Amino acid sequence: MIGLAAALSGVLFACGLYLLLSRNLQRMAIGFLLLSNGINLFVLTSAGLPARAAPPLLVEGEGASRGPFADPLAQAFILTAIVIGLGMAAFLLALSTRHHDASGRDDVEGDDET
Amino acid sequence: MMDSLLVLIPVGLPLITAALLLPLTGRARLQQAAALVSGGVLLASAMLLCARTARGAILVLPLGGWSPRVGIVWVADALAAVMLLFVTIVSYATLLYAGGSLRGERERRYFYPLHQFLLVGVGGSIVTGDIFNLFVFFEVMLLASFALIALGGRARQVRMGVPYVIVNLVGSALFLAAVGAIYGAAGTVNMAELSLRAGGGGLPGVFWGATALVLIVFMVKTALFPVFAWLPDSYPEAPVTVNALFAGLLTKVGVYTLFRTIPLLGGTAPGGWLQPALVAIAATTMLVGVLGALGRSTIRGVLSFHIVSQVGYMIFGLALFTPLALAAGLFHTLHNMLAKTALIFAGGVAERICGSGKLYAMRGLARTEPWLAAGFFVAAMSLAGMPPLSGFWGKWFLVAGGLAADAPVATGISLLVGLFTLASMLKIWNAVFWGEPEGQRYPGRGRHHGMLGATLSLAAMTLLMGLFAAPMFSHLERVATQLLDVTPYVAAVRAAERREVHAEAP
Repeated sequence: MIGLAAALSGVLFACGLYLLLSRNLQRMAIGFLLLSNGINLFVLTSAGLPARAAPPLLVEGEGASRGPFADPLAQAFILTAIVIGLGMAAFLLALSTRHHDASGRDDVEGDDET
Repeated sequence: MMDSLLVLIPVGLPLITAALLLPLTGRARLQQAAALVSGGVLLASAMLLCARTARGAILVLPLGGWSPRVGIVWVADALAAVMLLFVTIVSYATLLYAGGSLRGERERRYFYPLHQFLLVGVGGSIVTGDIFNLFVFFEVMLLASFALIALGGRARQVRMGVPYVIVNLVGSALFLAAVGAIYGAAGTVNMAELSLRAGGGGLPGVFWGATALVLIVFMVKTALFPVFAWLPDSYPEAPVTVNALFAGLLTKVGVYTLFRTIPLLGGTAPGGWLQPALVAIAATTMLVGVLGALGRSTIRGVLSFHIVSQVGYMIFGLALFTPLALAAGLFHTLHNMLAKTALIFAGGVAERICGSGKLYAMRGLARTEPWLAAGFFVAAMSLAGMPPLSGFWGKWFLVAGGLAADAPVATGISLLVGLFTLASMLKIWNAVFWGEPEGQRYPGRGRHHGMLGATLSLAAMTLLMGLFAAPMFSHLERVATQLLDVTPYVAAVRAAERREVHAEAP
């Protein structure tokens, strides 16, 4: 399970970085989305994924959870990161619209040294 | 109660102000007045915090009643207090300047709320004692800065801002990954607790790899060599006010996080290569930054590339790990926040009068605008390190610290870079201020009380800081000693935890 998640996170990371290196703003936005999901998966994996883990809930009357449970704090991290990632993606898309309106194109070239 | 409030205000007040400013969108003057009132309260609270922490007290605020091992703590010690004070001074000056400098409805409409959101991020990054919370505040700061750098939305500005956005996004993504790995390896993201566990030894290599990644991300935010390339092209394209705000605050937050985390985590790092690496990075940054600045052909282009060079000095002080050098690095950081902002302010007014930021497009501003020229001259000489201004003392203490810590090569480079700094400042002075007036196409446009007042008050403050260098430096030496001896910080955070547990028991 951990091996699979780690490999998937690596693939997402690689694809995201590849797209971010492009000069096309929409590709960059998609690249960022892939990258941030790769990272979220990485955080989940690094906090450990116990096999057949129970939800981190207290059982009535027992005062403790049954068996191994997934770490709730890592999931709280990811929840926060997902929200932030959404904000950033929204900004990137707004930026690419703005750039398209201003220049009529979707790619950013380097400095023309004015 | 009072103490908790003092820790809460630097983040809470700008947040509330931002929320209040949003319904006033379109009424820029009213927004500015409200932001100035809020800025005044912020300034007063930062001064109170400085006074409260001056004797070494460390204020800890555990949020939500969680134990600091799993919950978030905000910590204000003397370092955080003095940084907050200078952040509020710079942001207040920017507010004064903004009234005359922002151009058109597009820039004026959203500047003030975004300015407050940026302050939330900066204040939060300074007071937080938890690296995941630091990530969150970095993102708050970044998102506000993204919107600010694209403010106005000219095609070229948007295009040059893209590298800034992408580099910082990738940096934040790596930061989050590193925080996750640190949590997986050490079981906590509280800085004090991490410092304790790192000092205890026995942490896996993953932890140190992730910590190195965190430091690299901080280096990106600080614009250190070799990860500074996002800064020099994007900053000069932003509106002047935004450029000045970023120059005064953003890279300095990066510097602050390095000052905060390296003594806590780096002191016990295995291998012992951290310190020589930092010294080498600092020296290269100084040199590359100043050479890049000499090669630029616009006023704000030169000044913005200079940010990189100056950051090198600050990190040089940190890299030596002695109280003297660390205090010198801090002194230089504070001096730079004032002097650099004043320079960009003055450069912005000159740009306005000329109608273009190009060097040699206009001459003789010293004759027509003597007050502006005085403001620029004082700040420029301070940056170049002329006595009795603050920049002189910053460099003086750094050289003393460098020689005492046996780093002659890097110290020599810092002196050489001082010479180049003087050359690049004279380049602007000769091109723009000296000689017979010519090429001043819009002579009336620069006369604005807010713009001139902000420039001159910051320049006057660098002079004051130079005149009162001795008491200020002895205070910073106490701050540095407390910072290097991490035990008071760790003890204060852990004591808060015990109090919290105790309070919950009955």
